[in-house]
Amino acid sequence: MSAPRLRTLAVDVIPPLLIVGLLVAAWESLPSFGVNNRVIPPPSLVLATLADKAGVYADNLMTTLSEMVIGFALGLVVGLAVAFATVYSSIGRRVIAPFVVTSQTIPVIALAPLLVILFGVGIEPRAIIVTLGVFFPIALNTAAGLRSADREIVNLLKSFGADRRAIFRSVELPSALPYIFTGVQIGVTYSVIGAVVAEWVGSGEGLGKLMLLRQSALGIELSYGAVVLTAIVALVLFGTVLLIRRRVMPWETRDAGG
Amino acid sequence: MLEARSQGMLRVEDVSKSFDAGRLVALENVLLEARPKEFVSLVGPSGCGKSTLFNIIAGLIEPDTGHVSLGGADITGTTGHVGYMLQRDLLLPWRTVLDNVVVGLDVQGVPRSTSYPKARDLLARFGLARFEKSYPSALSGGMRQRCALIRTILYDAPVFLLDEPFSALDAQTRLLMQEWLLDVWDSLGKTVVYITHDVDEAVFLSDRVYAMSARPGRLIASVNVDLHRPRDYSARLEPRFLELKTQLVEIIRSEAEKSMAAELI
Repeated sequence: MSAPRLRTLAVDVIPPLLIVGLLVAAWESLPSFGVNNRVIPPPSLVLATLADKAGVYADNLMTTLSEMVIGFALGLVVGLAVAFATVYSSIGRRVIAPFVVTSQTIPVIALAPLLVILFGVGIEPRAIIVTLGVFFPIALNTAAGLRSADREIVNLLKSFGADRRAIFRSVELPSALPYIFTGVQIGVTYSVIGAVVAEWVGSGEGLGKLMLLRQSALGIELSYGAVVLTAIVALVLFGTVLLIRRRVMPWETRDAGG
Repeated sequence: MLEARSQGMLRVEDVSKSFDAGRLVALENVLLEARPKEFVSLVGPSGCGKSTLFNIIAGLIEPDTGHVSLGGADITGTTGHVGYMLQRDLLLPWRTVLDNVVVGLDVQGVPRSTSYPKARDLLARFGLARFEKSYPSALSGGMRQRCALIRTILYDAPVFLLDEPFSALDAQTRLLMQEWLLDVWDSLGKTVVYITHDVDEAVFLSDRVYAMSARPGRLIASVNVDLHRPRDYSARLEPRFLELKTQLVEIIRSEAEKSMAAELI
């Protein structure tokens, strides 16, 4: 193992693992301080439940993932479209911007029943709630990114005889990429919250529903299992976007993107 | 590789330009000439409209009155006739060194199979061969400016416009870059218009130095630099160098004093 490798291990890997380990150990020891298992189940019990009820979790995970994936994909497309329309068309800006901002002021709890009436009790209304939350940070960040191109670099390319399209492809789009990815990182995190909240206010199954049901029933460890699973899904998705970001923008320094 | 461009005399004829609805006169009746393969510098106080003149020659902005011509053809407001370089290197952070220096040729539609070999030759000549796959963020200021110069050379326009290209570099690197530039200019036979506020640099590099007045910018003197070529650092030690420098400094000082006095009144 080389010296920089060792250093990475010592600085980047061991401290966070140590902290997570300590927290889990403290959590596990709560019953010995008299905390009731029924109020805060220890990690060992949560893990055992996750293993025991793997089938139930898998079904609900699939439902929640479908809402997230469909809602996020739609949110990405709408977010990018809104950003391009507002940046490159002054009519687009005037027409679309008020709707975009208004869409963020309507509480999900007011919207959910309406969406169920419009789209039925399937995953569609929940996916749309995810979309509504996801498209906004992507649109806002992408628009800022498309406007962030360096004027002097644009002039330089113009002096080389570059047309509108070449300037977009060679300068404006690559300048916008870090912003787009930041928007996607926020959006993908939101898609997890969005799906869970949509399940709370809507109908059907999913990890969010599982959290809610079991808090009022006896097996609270089932609810904790759903929370842990949801957190893992969020971490995996965020990490995946970060990996793609580093692949797409190898020129970025390692610290960028969080 | 590029479409035929007119060679010959670069003329800026009677160019005026004002901004802010005429309230700010940047340039007034500017007349400037550069013969083919001549190295001409413009020196003047800051805010004298040097960069406005530069953008007009590059075709990025149109003058209110007057023309720019190259070899007798009117090129006012048209781009593609000059290769230019600024104090900021303007390298694209997302392109490697190799892809950065060919960006002008990319825009012109020159295939990479043609542009890469030329780029690699120049990168080797400028000591950057090892860095062709690096991103600009990994390079020092001097290396980045060498990339910018290679990009300008590869674009192969008949006129090079250089706007304080080395002013952000440290003194030692700047001296080296100046000698490199003279080497390049000597071997390529390009017309160079060089903007600087450094009289020493202007005299060292140029065949002729124009002095500019404070705003509104006008050309107030043209001084021939009759130092022998090729020049190296020793040219700076010659008595004639000092004479020319003194002459220019006096012209510019009296201009600066005039503008300061005008501001006080």
